[in-house]
Amino acid sequence: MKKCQELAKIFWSFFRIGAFTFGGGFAMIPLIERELVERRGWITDHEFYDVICVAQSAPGAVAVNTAVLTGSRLYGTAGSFAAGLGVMLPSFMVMLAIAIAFDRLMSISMVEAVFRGIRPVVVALILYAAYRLSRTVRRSAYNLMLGTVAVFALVVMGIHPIYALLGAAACGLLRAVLT
Amino acid sequence: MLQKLLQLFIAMAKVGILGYGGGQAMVPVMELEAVQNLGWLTTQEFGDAYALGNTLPGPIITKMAAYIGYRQAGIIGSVVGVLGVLLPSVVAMVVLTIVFFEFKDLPFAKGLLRGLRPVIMVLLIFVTFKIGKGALIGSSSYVIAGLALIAIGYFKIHPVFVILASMVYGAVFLAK
Repeated sequence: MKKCQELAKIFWSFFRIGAFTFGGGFAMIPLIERELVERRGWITDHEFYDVICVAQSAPGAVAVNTAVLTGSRLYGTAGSFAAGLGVMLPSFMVMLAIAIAFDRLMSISMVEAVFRGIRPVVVALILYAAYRLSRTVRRSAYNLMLGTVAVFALVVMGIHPIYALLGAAACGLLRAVLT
Repeated sequence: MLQKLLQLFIAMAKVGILGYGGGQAMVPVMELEAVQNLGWLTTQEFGDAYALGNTLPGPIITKMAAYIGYRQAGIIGSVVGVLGVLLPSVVAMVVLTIVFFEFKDLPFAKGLLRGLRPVIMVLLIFVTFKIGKGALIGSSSYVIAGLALIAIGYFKIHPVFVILASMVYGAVFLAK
């Protein structure tokens, strides 16, 4: 019984995080910290830093990774499931509802007009995401070369982007092993 | 049906593996799979879903996976899509946790991360161009995109409000 209560508490905490963090990923970190470290006192600041470190080193969304890691530290595998489900369930349900209603919505001319308004903004959003990502890339000759080679391979040689990603991953691994 | 679900699962798992560097970094890889490789959506539909997803709370990637999965195979599809996109990171974290708390630093993961980021950045810029081709028609749309970029990047207005404002603008001025 106690275990169920604990798991429900973990689930609910992450449900709240999932429901109230707009902007995804790194925007969620301060909120998660407030909930876990300050409000619940489940982990210390130092542990939280370690968790964020691992969450960023793994592929995938930082928020989901952080949830799964914290959940597992609190209550093992069951905890990681409770936390992971909690953090993604709100957005999953809302998006599913929208997907279900999408075609019907799009036939309303007002909704179509709304989307005509959004489309140019999407360009700005993605461009800004690229800019933010670029700030986490160190300005080194190596990175500049890697980026240039990628542009050349993609545009001039027309290789499939998947190979560009795999190649970059291989270079990164090789470099880590050699240095 | 089963084949479709399997295809969906594999496509999303690929995104989960190669989308390195947080939620937004997964967007170009997802576009690659869903739009270019499998032709499940047009670039414009992908952009629409992305914009909508950004106005809703929670990680962007679960929203995109739920949306694409639902379009392919209904509610089961959306569940399979989300599971596929999350599985690689969960597995990676189980392994990394063991490695991390054992050795305290992760040369492999850090190397991977450093290697992938510049290329993902290049891909993000490509996606910008692709979506821009369909979205930027006429000078007013360039002005709106420019204003949005200034609002988000310079004035640090949260993207949610910028998207909401553009929705109102569309409803008022762009209705036919």
